[in-house]
Amino acid sequence: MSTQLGLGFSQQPSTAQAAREAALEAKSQLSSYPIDFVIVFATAHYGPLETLRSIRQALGEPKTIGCTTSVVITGDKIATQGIGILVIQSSDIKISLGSVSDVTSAYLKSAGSQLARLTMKEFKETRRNALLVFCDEFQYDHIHILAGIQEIFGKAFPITGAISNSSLMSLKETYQFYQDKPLTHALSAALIGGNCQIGLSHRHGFKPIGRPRFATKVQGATIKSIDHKRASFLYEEYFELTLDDLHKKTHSPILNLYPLGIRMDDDREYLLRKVNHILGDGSLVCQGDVPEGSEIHLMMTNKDFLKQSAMNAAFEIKDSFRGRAPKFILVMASLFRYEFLGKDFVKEIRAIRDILGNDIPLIGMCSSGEIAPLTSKELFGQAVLNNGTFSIMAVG
Amino acid sequence: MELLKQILNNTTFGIDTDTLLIIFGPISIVVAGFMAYFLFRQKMIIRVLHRNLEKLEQSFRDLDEQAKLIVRTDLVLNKTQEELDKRLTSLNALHKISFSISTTLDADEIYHRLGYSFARDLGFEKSCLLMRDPLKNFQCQAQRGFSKEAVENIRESIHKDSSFVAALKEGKSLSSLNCLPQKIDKIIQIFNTKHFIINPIITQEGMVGLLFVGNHTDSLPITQSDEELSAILSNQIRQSLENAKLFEAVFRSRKDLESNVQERTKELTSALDALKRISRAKSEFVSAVSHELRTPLTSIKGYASILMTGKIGHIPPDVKERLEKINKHSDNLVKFINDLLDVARIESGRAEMKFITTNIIPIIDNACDILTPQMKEKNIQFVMQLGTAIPHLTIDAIQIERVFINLLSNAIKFTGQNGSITLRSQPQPHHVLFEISDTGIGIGEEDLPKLFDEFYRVDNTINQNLQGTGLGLTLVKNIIEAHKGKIWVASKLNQGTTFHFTLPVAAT
Repeated sequence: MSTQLGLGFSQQPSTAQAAREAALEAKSQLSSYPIDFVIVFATAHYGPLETLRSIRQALGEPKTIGCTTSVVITGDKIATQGIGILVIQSSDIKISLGSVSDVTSAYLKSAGSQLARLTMKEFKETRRNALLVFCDEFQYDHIHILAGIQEIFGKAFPITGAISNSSLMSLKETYQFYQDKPLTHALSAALIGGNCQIGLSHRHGFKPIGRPRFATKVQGATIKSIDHKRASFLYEEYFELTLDDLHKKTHSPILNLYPLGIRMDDDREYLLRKVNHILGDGSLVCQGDVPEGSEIHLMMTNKDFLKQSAMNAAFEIKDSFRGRAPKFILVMASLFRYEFLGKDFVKEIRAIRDILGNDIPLIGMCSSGEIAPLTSKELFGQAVLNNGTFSIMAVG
Repeated sequence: MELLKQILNNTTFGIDTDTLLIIFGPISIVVAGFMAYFLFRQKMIIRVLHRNLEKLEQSFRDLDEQAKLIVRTDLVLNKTQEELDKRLTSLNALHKISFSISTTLDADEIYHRLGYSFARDLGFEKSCLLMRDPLKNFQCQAQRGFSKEAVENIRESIHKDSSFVAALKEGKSLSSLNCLPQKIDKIIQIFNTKHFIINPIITQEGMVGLLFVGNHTDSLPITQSDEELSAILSNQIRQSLENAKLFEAVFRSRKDLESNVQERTKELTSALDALKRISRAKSEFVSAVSHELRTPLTSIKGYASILMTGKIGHIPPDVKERLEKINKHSDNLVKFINDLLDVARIESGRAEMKFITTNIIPIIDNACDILTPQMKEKNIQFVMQLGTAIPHLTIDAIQIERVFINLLSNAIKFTGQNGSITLRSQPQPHHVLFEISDTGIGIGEEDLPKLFDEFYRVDNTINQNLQGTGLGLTLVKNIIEAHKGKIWVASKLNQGTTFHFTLPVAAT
């Protein structure tokens, strides 16, 4: 009963070279084969099809999952160009994959359910521990996908995942990796179980500011009015800007820096909602649903809060493992954090590695949205879609 | 009350109305009082709640005002932080680029190192470095964000309308911040970039190129710090290109110099070889001639001596006088030939020195004894200041005695009546320094460098009246140098001359 892991990374300019180099680096750290499972994160510089084929050819066709991202994290390396790979060979951890392609906004929930069923096919009696899911950036109502998954697994089942992105290269397509197929407008997922422990935690580090407001009229992810005024009034008032001003690109950083926080019932925790854009009538289009009548706040943060929140997430994982070291760590951090922290982003990664163990293989990516259980003290809390968070999945 | 009575009358409790009045009257009054109090209290509570609500509302308003202040300050701070980060990143990039291009002295390598990424590292979307070729046409040496066709269009546009180049020639930079709208439109048209900076690259030869950087995206306008960065970079490019040019000039001149030196060295080596060949031929000639001369001279001298003895027959006095002259001149000639042979032998390395480690004092004494009569004749005071502890020297005793005899006899020759000659020695760590000084007529400065040359004789009254070969000092020098010593002379006209020479101490 053992688990072996290998981490590989390459920044070679050619796709085939980079994929092969990263794969062989990871493979070289294993002493026995075959490789059971591979997690791949690649920036948009590399052709996704060639990336997957080269990796699988070098590693012997293992189960493969992952997605494209703007930033690849492998150990202490943070790169806006590169391919990162984690290979797993384990008799303890059982993994089953699934994917759904051509997902349109018309049937997001059923796509989520279909994905959940597909991942369960191989599992049968084996203990299920958590689901890792990757979604496309250009499907705004990801919350429905999550609802679909929860319909099959139940609301308490631990689900984590990320929304793949390519924002730094301003591309309009992202890819979700499933075996040798780079899928777009799709979902790919890995159901993880067997004889292993999984710790999930996520924190955002944003604090509410100003008086509480109420989302008085909402349609899905679009907030029509706040406190019976047009929704954009919140930003207009706080930043002394007109609706026209807010439409100008020069003011777009405001929406990133000051997202909305939805206060959850009986909890001091706030669900973050990044405002993607503002409609002509002043409606705020968020990345994820906002319940009508919910208490919302303008949120703000700083570098210290962000770093501390990542550390808190790591401490929570450490506590859940009760002194045992995880076998590997998967990090899904909001791209906002990378952009906001700049060079300090690496400090956030180093801080969590210092807490969880510097010798534990760590792979990660920067996402446009993170899926994780909200009440992180209870590891089996309900998973939600959040923005701006630092999300950790530790497998031990 | 009447109403109450009626109500009570209508009830069927069987109790009379008055009794009921007595019972319920006060109760009603009390209840009414309570109700009135309760209503009053509720009103008071509502009033307090209203006041508190107003206060809460006011607190929320205050909170919002503070929040507005905080977010606006935070926004400014974030913007400042972002600008600072950008500035730091740009400065760092500028430092790297400057270091990279200043560490090469090849213009092509400078362009190569500027390459594609310098503008990106400095935070610009587009860049173009146009340098003038020898025909004064602009050629693109490094660019980013332009297609080949776009670069060609830019070159053509500048060629056709160089009005903005004229402004650059004056050393002014042009940017979307500082230009007149008409000029801005023209530059935007040429470079298809909304926000731009153009800096001239001016060397001593005038404007040799221009550096264009810019952004097409509206959210990335040019700032004053961008202008400064671009100006620093263009200046750094200028400096690096000038250094490269200077280096090339120095390199070429060094190559020429090296080639000249090599040529001259070759000529000198060949001249030296020729001289050596001539010198060797001369030595061989002198040696051969001397040998050939010495044999008949010995016969001449022998026959003259026999004749002078009178054994062959009576010699008349005038014949005897002539024979004596023959004998004397023969002696002079033999000495001259011997000296010549010695010089030739030592020069050619054929003279075999018989080095022995010995005490030099007896050798010096012997030389002095030989010359004492001549000193007495001129009443010359001879002072010998030899150190008491002269170490043993490894020398050829005969040759070194010749050195002392030669130098002392020269001193006697050029020192007048009642003069003085001093012989000193100073032991040094590795050699012994000897000095022979006289109070004679001295040697002119112009003669000093040639003094040790073969056959050189100083032109003075004494030499004019006395015969000499001009080989004595040459021989002395050759002997000293054959002993790994050095010889030099110091002299002042009419004050005297001092010969210095060193002889190495024997190895212990």
